[in-house]
Amino acid sequence: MRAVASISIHRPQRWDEPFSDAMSDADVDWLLTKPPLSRIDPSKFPSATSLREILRNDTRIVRSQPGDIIVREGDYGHSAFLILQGRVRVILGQLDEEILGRQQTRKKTFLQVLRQAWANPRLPEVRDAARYGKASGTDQRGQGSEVRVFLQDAPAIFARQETVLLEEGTFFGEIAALGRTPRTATVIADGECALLEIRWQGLRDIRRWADEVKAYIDQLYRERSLKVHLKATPVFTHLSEEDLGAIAEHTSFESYGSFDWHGTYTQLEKLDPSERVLHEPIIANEGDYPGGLIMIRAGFTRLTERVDRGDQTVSYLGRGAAFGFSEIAHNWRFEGQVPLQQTLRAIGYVDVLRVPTFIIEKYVLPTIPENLLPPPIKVRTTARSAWKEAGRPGLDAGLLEFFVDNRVVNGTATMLIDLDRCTRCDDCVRACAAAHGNNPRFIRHGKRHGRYLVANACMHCVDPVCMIGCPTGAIHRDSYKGQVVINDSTCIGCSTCANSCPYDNIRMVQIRDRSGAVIQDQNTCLPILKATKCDLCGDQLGGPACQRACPHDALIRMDMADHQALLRWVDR
Amino acid sequence: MSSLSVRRWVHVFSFVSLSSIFLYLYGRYAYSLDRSQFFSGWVLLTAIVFLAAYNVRKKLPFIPLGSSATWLQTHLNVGWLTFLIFAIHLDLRFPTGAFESVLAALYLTVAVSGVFGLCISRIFPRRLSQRGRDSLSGGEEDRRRHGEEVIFERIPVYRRQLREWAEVLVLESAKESASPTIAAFYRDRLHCFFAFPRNFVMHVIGSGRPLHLLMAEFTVVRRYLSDADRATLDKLEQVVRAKNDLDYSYSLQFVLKSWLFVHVPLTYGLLVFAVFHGVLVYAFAGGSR
Repeated sequence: MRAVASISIHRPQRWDEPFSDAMSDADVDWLLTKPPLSRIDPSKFPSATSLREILRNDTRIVRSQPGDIIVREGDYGHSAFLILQGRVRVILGQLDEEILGRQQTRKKTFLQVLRQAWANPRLPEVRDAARYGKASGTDQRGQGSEVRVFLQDAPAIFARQETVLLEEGTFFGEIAALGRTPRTATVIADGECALLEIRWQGLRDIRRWADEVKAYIDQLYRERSLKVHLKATPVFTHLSEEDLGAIAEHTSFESYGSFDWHGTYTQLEKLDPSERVLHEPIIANEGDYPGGLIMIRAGFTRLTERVDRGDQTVSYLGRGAAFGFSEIAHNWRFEGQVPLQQTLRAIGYVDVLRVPTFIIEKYVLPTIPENLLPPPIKVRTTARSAWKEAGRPGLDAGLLEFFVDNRVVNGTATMLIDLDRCTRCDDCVRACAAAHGNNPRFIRHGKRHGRYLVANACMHCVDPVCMIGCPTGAIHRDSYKGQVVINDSTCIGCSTCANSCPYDNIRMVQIRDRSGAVIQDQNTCLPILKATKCDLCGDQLGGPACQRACPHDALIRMDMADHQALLRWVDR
Repeated sequence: MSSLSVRRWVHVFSFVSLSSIFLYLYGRYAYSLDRSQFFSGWVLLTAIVFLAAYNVRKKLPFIPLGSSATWLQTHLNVGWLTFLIFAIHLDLRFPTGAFESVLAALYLTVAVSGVFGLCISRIFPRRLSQRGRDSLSGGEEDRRRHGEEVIFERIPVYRRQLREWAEVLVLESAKESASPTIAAFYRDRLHCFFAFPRNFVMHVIGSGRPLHLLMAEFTVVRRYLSDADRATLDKLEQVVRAKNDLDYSYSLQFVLKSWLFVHVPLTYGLLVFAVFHGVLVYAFAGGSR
């Protein structure tokens, strides 16, 4: 056998790819003179992640011109901003969708729908070139992913809208960056300004080692969002404002997993499923003391039980779910104490809130209505078998593992096909094409487990990583139904979304006019690309054409958070 | 009871109800000495027009005309009903006139092809999902783990890949071991096997005999080979099994797609003949009453 020579390289390090190559020592020195960075004690940082190195590698200085849109309401971002010079305005009201680079999904009229029968172009990806570059009220400068969108008449918009002025030394965008939640407001440069953009890893470390920054960010979250989250959790709904305030004071914030999980996902995918589970950070371990109620604020978790020598997935929990309450309630009510019955693991990136057990015992359990109390826990005396136990409710273990391993559980409209019923007639594909100008927006192909196929169609994820980093905000959540859509007019074809989608459900396509001529960039003569994907037929009457077109009820768009609906469909 | 079982019973109930209504009305016409054949003829024509309308619904998927699944269930119910109406309309006799014979034959062909389509659409998908691309051994890690759905239009590409893979194995074996056996076996026995889809009918009826016979030939050849060539033959056997699975998928998907090329065009022919039949009936019956 031929010997294969080995190649030696440096082990990849965290900062091999800094956020910006332009950051110099002089820049870092200057940053350290600017408050609040100047007030941080660098000696508290470990040498491996010193404040200087964080600033050099995890930040970049962004210079904005008057009217530049810095963040858009509803966008997902992976960075926060610190104002170094100048000032910005936070728009409190809602700007027009068009100004934000988005499209407003309007249902077609019956006649417009009917017109598709003869007006759909015969060629693929036909566009009207004349409509590009006519976004009302905004313009663009820069190229590729560095493009900046600015308001053409920012003062007029400031005059019309209620705004808040943020001055030098103020952070903004930190909650969305750390919590992976949508930006809650649009921020626009009010004059020339310099901003320090900090990617989430750097912000996380600064928050960890600089107590004042942690206190500041946590306080912001407590003030703005925590009470709302607590109120939405069923076990807290009966509590008074005062009690909720006390609980909020004792709630801690924790993050698990990698924010950029879509990058590592493709690597993890190659591992054996039993190994894959071991790479998922443990939030709470089976057999441990239930030290607090864990509430999931963002992301997904896997619930596993120890069986034989492995960990079997028994369920998955998403945003808004809580873990550990059954054990805490049991221990408070009964003599025999029980540890946690399951392990909670982070899939991708997970942001959790932890309310200590003594707080639950003090405020929640004494006043909770009887119907909200979980049933007593029956502690098993024998080891669990890996073999499917008769009468155990829920999905088949293999199917559940498949859904969780492949992070299909992220979808709110996952396309599931029952291959035992699908006759491969492709009516779904044809219907999709007919509803999208003769261009199918999915492929009847994808990962398969037994009789179930997860087709390559946009799942309209709960955690839409594709939306991170879109320079123009073209990919966004529709304000009407919340599906992830792309505004073709403002998409600049940078492929950021297509590269980020872990499921390969976004396609970059060349566009052409009605004559068939490929539309190209007048400067580079390269074809103009556009990102395309399923839009759930938001503009059509009657909902997703694919599902309606399936003659055998083999295809469904499933919200994976709806366990009951999924179970009903599988068990039908 | 599962939702699909409930739906099945609902459709059985609606079929029985529709049939009863038809039989009751037909009986009323017969008692009143009216031309009951006109009644059954008109109902049959209306039913066939409705059945044909399903294809129009399929061509206009963007118009909210109800889900295709609901249409299909109704199509099946009405389709079964037409058997009954047709039998009554013809008084359970096959017509003797040339035109009526063609018309009846057209109806029967369309109806039987519909029943055939219904049967295969219930049986073949399950067979396909049980033996899909995941049983192909030549795929990458991910494919082995999760399987892959074979898209009919991509089958020629997969077939070419398998043929090229087999040829590489055979050529490498001939170069490295200088043994002529595998090359000759490929030339005489496997070249044709890899060139086209094979054993179409056997795959459709679900017979494993062709593969079994081919594997027996592998066993015969294996005993004369060196260890290195046996390893090559094992790999070749895997490729052959993969090609067999691909042919299986091709055969079943081909039938699933092609029966509609009989059912749909003949339906339009049936409609034309049925309308003409109506015109003739009225022309020679002295007009409707």
